[in-house]
Amino acid sequence: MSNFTGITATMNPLAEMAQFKQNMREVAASPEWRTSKLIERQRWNPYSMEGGSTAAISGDNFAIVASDTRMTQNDINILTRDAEKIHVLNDSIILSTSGFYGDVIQLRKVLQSRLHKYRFDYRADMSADLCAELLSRNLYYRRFFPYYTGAMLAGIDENGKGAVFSYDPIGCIERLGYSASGAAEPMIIPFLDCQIGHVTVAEDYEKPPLTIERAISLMKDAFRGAAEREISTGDKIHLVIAEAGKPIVQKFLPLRED
Amino acid sequence: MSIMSYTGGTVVAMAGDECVCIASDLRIGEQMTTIATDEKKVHKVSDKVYVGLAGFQSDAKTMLEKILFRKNLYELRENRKVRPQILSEMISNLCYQHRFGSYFTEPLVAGLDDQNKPYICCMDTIGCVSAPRDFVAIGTGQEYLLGVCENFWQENMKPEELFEATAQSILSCLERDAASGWGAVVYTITKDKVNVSTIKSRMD
Repeated sequence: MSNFTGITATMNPLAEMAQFKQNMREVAASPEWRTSKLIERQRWNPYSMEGGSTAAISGDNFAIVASDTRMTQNDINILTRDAEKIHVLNDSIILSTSGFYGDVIQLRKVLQSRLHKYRFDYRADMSADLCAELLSRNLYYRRFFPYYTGAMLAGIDENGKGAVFSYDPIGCIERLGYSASGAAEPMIIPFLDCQIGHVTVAEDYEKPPLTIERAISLMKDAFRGAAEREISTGDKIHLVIAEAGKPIVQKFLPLRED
Repeated sequence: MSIMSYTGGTVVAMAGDECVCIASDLRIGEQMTTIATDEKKVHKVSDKVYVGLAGFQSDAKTMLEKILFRKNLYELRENRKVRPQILSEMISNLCYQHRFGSYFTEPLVAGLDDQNKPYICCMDTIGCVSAPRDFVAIGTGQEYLLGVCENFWQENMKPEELFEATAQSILSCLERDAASGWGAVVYTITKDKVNVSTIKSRMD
């Protein structure tokens, strides 16, 4: 045998070929030019964000919820122009969501089935207060693999007052006068702070009362302002109005489509 | 946390009818810690030309020195006052000279030109100018500001209305932006005077 370096003279050709194929498979599955950073980036991500925003305002005897109807991929690609982010769960409870639409659908399904079971067991619709607590617990139940949603629950509470509950993805709950969630949250919230919370005016300033008409027109302004600057918000405003003692009204209003 | 939000701070400018308003907050911090509560981010460059510098304040200080140096040189050589359009071009060039090692500050220019036409613009850290006709905002509270300004700005506002719109916008922003706050200062630049007002906001 000649003394070639690099080749084991004693290895049999079949074993050599098998070894070669094995090496080939390994390098194809994980080529050397793939740095650890690149491998990290290409790992599958269980979450995605479909953009869009929602906001809710509660008053003395009403609650209004609004959202846009655009659904985007990577903030640029429009998947649909009429995705509904507001879900009317029963005559007094409205769920409005933003974030990962897959989780939104699952969360809605979970809530709907719990509401159905409640109706079966107690022969009455669940109240908004109760459903708010239920939603918080359902979110926290998934503490370590959360539903990636910015949920808000609005409706008429047990005392006939308007109610808005705001959540983080793992179920931290807060009852607020008004709230917003989603991509345009930082644009909508300060506007509502100024117009409804009256946080920027002097104490002796006469504050206009929050009527349902005023709330609706503020909501329209908030979304028109947000759609002007935030690219994943647009197409249509989905407005849902719950007034004590009246059926829930749903409206669609035009919004920027570009 | 990004270097752009290390010290915090917000600047906004709005254009009206022969007047402009430029406002900033007063806080300076080191991330979550507040260091000073009297740091204006708006600086006078000429009688009717002001710059705002948001972002990393150490770089903003250096940038301001360089801007004033260039503006002085311009005024000496040309023997006339600098126009805001010229100043923004100068700052843009200055920023782009540091293309591959930029100052971490976003400049904003607001002022009236020699015909008292309002001019406002802002740029990114490497000097890409955007000069809209309505309003500009930079800094940590930019998103909060753009949302409110979009609702408060109107065409051809008089100085009083313009001041009110700017003040309300920045106050609404300071309510939600934790990195800015401790009051605001608003400069209303009109053709014959500049009105400076310091406003109290949330002191936390």
